[in-house]
Amino acid sequence: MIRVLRSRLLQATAVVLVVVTTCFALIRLAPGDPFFAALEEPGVPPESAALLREQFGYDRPLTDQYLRFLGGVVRGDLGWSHSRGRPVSAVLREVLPNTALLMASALLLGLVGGVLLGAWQGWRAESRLAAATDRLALVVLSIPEFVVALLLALGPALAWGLFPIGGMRTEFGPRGLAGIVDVLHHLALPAFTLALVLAAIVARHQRAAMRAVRDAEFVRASRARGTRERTIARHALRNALVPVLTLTGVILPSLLGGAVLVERIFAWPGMGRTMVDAVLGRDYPLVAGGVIVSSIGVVVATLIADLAVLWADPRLRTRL
Amino acid sequence: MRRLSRVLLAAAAAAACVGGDPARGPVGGTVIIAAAADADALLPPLVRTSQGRLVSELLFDRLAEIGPALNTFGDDGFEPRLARRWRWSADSLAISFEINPAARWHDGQPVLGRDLLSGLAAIRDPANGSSLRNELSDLDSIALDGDRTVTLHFARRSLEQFYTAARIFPLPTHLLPPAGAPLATSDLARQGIGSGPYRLVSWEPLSRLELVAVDDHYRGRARLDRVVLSVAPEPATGLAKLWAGEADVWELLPAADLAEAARHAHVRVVPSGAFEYAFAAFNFRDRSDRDRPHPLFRDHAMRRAIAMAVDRPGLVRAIFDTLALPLHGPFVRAQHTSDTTVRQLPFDRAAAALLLDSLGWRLGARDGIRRRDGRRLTFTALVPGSSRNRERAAVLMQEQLRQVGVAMEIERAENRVFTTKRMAGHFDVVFGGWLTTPSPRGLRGTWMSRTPDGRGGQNDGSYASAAFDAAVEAGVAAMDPVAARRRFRDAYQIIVDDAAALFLYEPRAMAAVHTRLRMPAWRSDGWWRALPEWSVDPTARLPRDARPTAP
Repeated sequence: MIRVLRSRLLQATAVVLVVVTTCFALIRLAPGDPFFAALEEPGVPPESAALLREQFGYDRPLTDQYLRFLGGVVRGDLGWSHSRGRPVSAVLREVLPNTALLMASALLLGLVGGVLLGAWQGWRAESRLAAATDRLALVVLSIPEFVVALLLALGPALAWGLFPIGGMRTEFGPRGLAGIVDVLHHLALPAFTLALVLAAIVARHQRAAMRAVRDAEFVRASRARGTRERTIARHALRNALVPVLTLTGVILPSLLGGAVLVERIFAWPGMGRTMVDAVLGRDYPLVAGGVIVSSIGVVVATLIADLAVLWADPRLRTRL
Repeated sequence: MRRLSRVLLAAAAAAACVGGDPARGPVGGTVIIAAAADADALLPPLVRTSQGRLVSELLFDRLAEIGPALNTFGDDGFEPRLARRWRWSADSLAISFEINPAARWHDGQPVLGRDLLSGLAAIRDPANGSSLRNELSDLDSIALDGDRTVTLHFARRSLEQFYTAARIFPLPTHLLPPAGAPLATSDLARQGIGSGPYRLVSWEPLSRLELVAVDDHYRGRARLDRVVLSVAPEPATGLAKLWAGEADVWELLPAADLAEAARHAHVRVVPSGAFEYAFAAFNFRDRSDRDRPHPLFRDHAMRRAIAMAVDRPGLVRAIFDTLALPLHGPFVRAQHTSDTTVRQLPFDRAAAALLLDSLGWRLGARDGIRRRDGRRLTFTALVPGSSRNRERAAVLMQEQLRQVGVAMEIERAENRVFTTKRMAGHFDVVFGGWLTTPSPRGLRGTWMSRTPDGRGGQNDGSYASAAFDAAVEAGVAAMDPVAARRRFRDAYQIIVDDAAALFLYEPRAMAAVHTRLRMPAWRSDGWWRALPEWSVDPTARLPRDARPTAP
């Protein structure tokens, strides 16, 4: 197990390095100036932008900038965000917990909901309700996430007034325990939007896996021995979880992509919005810092998913 | 007698709690401004965006504020702010400002004359990129006379020297970073300790920013207790917050949402005015080699033909209906030097076609596009992807030009790419827009010939006219307001006659505001400047209008 962990950590470091390098190069190759706002304003002396570029080191050769950036990362310094006027680490410290809360809630809701729904659909594959819910999942999958988000913002939030439109807290709302409830109230719609799509994907995979396991020999043998149906289902579910857990590791990056849109629509102050703003603002250090953090997050989550697969399928452990 | 004094005391207490000065409206309440973007900075010399201006101008006071007439000539109509009075020298080359002794920074320190020097130094530091820097080129020297009197000496007289000086925001010298350290990365840049009617309470980047009224402000306490900037990056979300009553103000209401606004009883639409105008400027230099003149647009007749082929009023009506006005030149109507009698090139498609014929561009039989020496009459228009209105204007203009045999290709570019290409002159025609000020001086940066001292710095089409330059400079230098306006009118006429650009429209902006808010007239040069005078109708208060608890 430790060997696996060590190997995965090495792979993860390589992945993060490749991702960061690619991102660093791509964003600098894109046309556009980081000090765009200064240049847009009539009256701002043209040399101001040049001075700002010099001040932030953007006038140096690309390799020099890259080496300085890597040196900073090694020292734990992600640089200065010129669009936010603060150190990148401070900006990320502020927004990361918000995105982590959103993603974790969506992941929990989507995984639990999707696994339970898919397992039930697979176990009761012949029932009409199972078929109907499967088609419904397909419908959900075919609607883009931002449309789901907008529909939820306009329906349950605006028209019915059940949820706040956006943001993370009610202005001058309660504090303490009631404040936590208030945050959860604001979290409901964005998390549900992300979870809905995730649950639909997971349910379809879980259904197929459960159907395959349902007809497996060990299930038939258990049934022939007179084991209770609920016990058989529990064992079958553990076997059917393997492909879904593998899928979860793969699906995380797209969940992060979905979070970008959802955070924007629900005005959730998270990483996704920060990154979009940073890319549009050519805030190179913030983009690079965000990419490092998100790629580490994805790599760690994938590692956890792999460990979960090992837990679910003891046969894989013996092969290590 | 005792009873009477008790009654008077009770009345005074009630006035203090509910309203104080009835003429100014009741005290208390909160305004939540939904905005598409966060403030980019808090310190005035560093601010670029309108959200940044909103916040910084509530946090910081200027020396004096321009009056509602927005007259930038002389000091007529200017209202005292940090400077309680000022005095001109006999030769008008110096102005002495006396800082109000009651003025305090939000940390309790007095505002002093040296703070004006600090504000000026920040403007002059090119690393801060202040737009005022070039305008202060006529400022020769500054002298401190005691703690609170500062005299600004000018190298030459101009009608706008007071306007320019009054716009300097003093900065708290005692909180500035050490010499050489950048202002943008200083603690002060995050703390925003200013001298304005509101102080910063909290700033959650990308999310919200909260200001609270300064109780003992030297100009009197602002009416509203709190001002909150609530960031909603999707306009649909920001507007939905307003419809749901979660926000009170949305600054630029899209025309498509006017009907929706009418459906919500708690929302009213306010004409807000704007200092923004849009144009399609010709490039006078070759897009691939700026040392050469543009193959098409160096020719005055070609530019005239293009301009005459476009029905500008029709185009503006088609896009905005009545929510924008056609331009008469590089100015907006709210500028006091504006002149709507400037003679325009007529919309005359037949005359435009004849002009193109006379230039040797003959209609092609195959595709209806004109040709000369085998070359099609085609060019590319650079359009920012962020402006739907300019995109629509480009599409309509493309169709109108096609009718006279001119092919205009549209190149949509993301904002940063657009700016980079615009600045590099990589376009034939650019659909640009400028946010101008009450002063006509902006013409120096945007339309005057490029000079090493920074004039024409944003004249990306490289329009160059000695006559235009002379008229603008004469307008700037004139000491008689009537003569100055006449010279600016001359400049407008010259640039229109030169067909340097198609001056398209100035939007008639609309804002959506919660009906419980009472406010004076909406200022088109910065509506937030009147925010300290806004108040909440005591009979329509919401829970969020409750007085803030002490932190």
